[in-house]
Amino acid sequence: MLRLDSLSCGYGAMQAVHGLDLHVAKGSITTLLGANGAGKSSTIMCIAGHVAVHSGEIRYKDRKITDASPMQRIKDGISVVPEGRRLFPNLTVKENLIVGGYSRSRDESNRELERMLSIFPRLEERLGQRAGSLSGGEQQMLAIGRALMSKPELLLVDELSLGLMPKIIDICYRAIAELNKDGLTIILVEQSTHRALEVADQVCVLESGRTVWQGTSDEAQNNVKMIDSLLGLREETSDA
Amino acid sequence: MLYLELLIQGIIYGSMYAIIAVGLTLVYGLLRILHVAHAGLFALGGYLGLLITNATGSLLLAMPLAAAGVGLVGMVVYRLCYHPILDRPPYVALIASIGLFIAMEEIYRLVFGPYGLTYNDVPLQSQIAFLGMNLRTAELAIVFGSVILLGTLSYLAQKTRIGVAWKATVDDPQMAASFGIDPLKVRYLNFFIGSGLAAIGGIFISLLSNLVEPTMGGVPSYKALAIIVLGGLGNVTGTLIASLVLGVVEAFGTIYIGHLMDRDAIAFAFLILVLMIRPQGMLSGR
Ligand SMILES: Nc1ncnc2c1ncn2[C@@H]1O[C@H](COP(=O)(O)OP(=O)(O)OP(=O)(O)O)[C@@H](O)[C@H]1O
Ligand SMILES: [Mg+2]
Repeated sequence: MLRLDSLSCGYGAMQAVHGLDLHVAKGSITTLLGANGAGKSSTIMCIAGHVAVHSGEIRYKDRKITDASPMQRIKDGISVVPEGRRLFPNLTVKENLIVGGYSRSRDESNRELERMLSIFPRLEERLGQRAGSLSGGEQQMLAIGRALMSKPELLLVDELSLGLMPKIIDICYRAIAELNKDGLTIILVEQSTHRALEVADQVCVLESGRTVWQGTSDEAQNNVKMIDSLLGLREETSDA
Repeated sequence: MLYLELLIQGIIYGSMYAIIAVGLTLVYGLLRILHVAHAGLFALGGYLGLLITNATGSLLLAMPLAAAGVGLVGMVVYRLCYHPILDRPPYVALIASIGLFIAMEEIYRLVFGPYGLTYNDVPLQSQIAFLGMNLRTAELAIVFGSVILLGTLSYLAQKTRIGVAWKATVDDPQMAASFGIDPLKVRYLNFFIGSGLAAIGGIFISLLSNLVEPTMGGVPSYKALAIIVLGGLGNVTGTLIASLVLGVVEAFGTIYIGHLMDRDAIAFAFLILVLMIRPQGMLSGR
């Protein structure tokens, strides 16, 4: 589905990711782990077309998309839930969803809206509310809903559970699992190793923009100690 | 009775300011550029409106043609003047804009002559009674025309996909592009609509003064810039309110302190006063 071939990317002269190789199979969930500043968000935003590629290649559905614009990529089915959610704060919930479906026809977009509200009924009561005034959990649901409005085949999610109550995290992870069951390919960036390993098929650990460990989630489960030490979490309990 | 009359005069001028200032605030909201050359487009609207009216005898035909023509020129201004320097600091665009404004005034002088043009037969000058007052048809047309145009704009922004796309681009251009909204298209639309409205403003003012001249953009441009600051830069509702307030203050001012200063001086004295008390604008904008 997606292949990163020795991908290096960054901001101006600053290189954030160095020679990353990653193969993402169709219908799988890949988790990117790493300490703060490891380059997880840069990788996600580079796949979405927002961070400049310095060298290497991005291939999606067997086509090179290294130089494609973000607008082209959303049409091709790559959608993102960015770090910090980046909702449109002055737009209503419904307007945020409309923007999410902008790359599809009006009819398709209306149909997706119905589906979205069945996944996140909480949003239905708040359609007319400004997105900036939603609670953190509602904002995350909206960010996911907005990304799904474009009917993506590859969903990029940065920090799914950050700052959310366990109950809301459950809702979000359940949604991710359901979507994946329906065939959606997902790349997930997480701080909380435990939850991410539960859903993932493949795990990739980054450090200072380089891959330091890659394997299946079973292998990762058996090496939780080692991964935690790579993440610098050894002294702490990794999860709440 | 006098108060009502002054209020109405204020609303007439306020609507005219609103229709000029909205385009300016739209550009600021989207690009963070103080688009001084907007006033040059306003003057161009006055010229086109007057020339088309004189040639065809129909103001009703002249308005949409002038608005569309100036709208297209606005898109060209964006493409040639602002697009190449978007990643530079904002003052670069400001200097370019001032330069363009001066150039436009000189071009009008060369093309249309230095003394200004007048209507063969000024449209909408008949008097009508309104709430016991005698108003010129043009004055009523200005108020109702502005309400209809700004109402339509607000409808487009709330109810259409392209309107929502435009608001999203103002909020976060990168994310908007990420969902398939072409920022360039939004900018062109923005300049087309803002410039078209400025053109209508130019025609409105020419109906009151029966004069279109190269420098007619000067004073309105300073006022419109001050208005969008008052309204909280980039805040459309704030801009509309500030326009009306300024119109009304001017109208009352000309009666009570008109012997001390003229209309424009009153306007600027008021703007300076408000900005001294509330530098962030009347409504605290974003
Ligand atoms: N817009 C930017 N301009 C310049 N440098 C940036 C920018 N964004 C990120 N960086 C740098 O790129 C490197 C990787 O950052 P990135 O945000 O990808 O890390 P991350 O793994 O997502 O970290 P976190 O867990 O804190 O979100 C960091 O050194 C960071 O300072
Ligand atoms: Mg990050």
